[in-house]
Amino acid sequence: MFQAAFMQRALIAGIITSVLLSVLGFFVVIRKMSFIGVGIAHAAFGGVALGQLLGIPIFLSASIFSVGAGLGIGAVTRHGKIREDTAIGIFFAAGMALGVLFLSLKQGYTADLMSYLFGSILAVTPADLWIIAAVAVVILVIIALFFKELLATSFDAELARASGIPEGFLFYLLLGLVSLGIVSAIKLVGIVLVSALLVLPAATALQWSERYGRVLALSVILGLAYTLGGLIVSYWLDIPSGATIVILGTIVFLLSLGFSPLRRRSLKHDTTHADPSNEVAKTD
Amino acid sequence: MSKKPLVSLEDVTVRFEEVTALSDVNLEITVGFSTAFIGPNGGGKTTLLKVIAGLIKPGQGRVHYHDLKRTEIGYVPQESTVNWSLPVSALDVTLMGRYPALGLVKRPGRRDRDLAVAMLARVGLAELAKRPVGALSGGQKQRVAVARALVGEPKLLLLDEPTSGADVEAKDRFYSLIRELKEEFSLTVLIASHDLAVVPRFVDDVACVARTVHRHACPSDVWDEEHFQRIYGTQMEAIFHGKVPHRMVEPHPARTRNTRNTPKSEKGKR
Repeated sequence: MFQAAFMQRALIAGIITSVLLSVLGFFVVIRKMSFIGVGIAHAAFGGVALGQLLGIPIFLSASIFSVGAGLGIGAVTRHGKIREDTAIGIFFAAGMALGVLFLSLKQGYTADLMSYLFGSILAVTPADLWIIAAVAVVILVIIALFFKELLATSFDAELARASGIPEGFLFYLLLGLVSLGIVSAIKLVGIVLVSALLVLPAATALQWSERYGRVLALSVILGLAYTLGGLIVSYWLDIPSGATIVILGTIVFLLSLGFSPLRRRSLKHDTTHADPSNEVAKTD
Repeated sequence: MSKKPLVSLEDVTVRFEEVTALSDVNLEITVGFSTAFIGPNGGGKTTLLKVIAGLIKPGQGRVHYHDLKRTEIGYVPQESTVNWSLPVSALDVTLMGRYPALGLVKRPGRRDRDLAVAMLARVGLAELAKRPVGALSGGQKQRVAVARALVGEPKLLLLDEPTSGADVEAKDRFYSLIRELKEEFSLTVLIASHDLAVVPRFVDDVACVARTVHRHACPSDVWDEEHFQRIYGTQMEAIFHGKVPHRMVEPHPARTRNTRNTPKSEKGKR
């Protein structure tokens, strides 16, 4: 199966995007922004359709839409009086609506549409592979450089700001990187399913550890396992790749939820961690 | 002690939309003094601390820092603003206090780690250094936050409602610790609290914040019975020591309130 060129490309793209999305997803999940990924991905649909309509590179048009939506959601919730979930709901629908509109303007053949919505192993071209690799390297380097600042702003944004960290800049930077990361994975897993690849690895890893280094490492391992496992299974059974990856990840997540040590501890809660010697009682 | 100013506020006014949080505040923070900002909820205590921390730019007026860099302000925010579900240990959080000294991009090194470990030990949490912060009790979390603030070697320590939800005994212990740390690290300390029962005993100075700042005493129109009731959720009587209410007790049927020292002020808070 690995002889087929398209399958090789799908596997390489899968490896790169799952590492990338797992790392981005770590921050998305710990910052409780999971739903933002859904909004950004769907907003990208407008860009995909516009790219097809105008015949410009779809990665470019989709990136403009997704980064625009990501920063837009960020700006509206940060400065406006609109709640985050409301903003996401609006950008989500607007992006999809624009996509439908652009497609209706395009005469004739739009068969690619399904592969953009739900992903396709066949869709990854050699050129895509180079773009994905370049985007991934840039994003991962930026994350590595600002890792401690991103961690600190995730813990307490205002406190980080008080200690001189450019918290606003990092907030928008992260949203921009997440948006680009999502676009790079759209061909493989699709608009509808990409946010699962963003959220599932970190959400599962958090069931197993409360130390960020381990959570991050486990997220990457799980992301790789979901993607590669899903691609191979989908190839054998001749079923859609994106869906297979997401279902695999969901199964592992549900199993983790049931068996994880942290869950067992959190059920008992508090009493196991009481420290009677110098306890300040918690009554709220 | 000579009265050198560390921070001065000059006619500071802060508005949020239509609401005036602080109005014409003039205040001098003296080097080496600890001050409690007491006052009703919504009176502007948190806003005042944030203005001093540089987090809120006042709409009018000015804040002057005298020989005080922004990185020399240690800030302990209200517990509720923090994302406690983050997968980090008490030591990781304490280490975050070194970030301003490190600057962007640069990673904490051996010395930063040693400082963080020592500071956690100083606040009595040496054994819990590796524990996830989410698994700590409320009081332990606050002490981690204090360790984090102090490991950055600040001159000014700001504490915003640091003991909400704690019982009186725990509050006593916490503020004793703060008083010790103040001497040990030559700090200037500002504490925002609506906790009239405990905080004033541990500080050099008390100021009332109710849109404006009144040194030492709250005018009677701020601290009327209605206010106590609103803050503490139950009817209270204040025992005054000078002009500052010293202890809050529920009204007793007999006149035993001066001998029976049973403050119930924590009851009914939120």
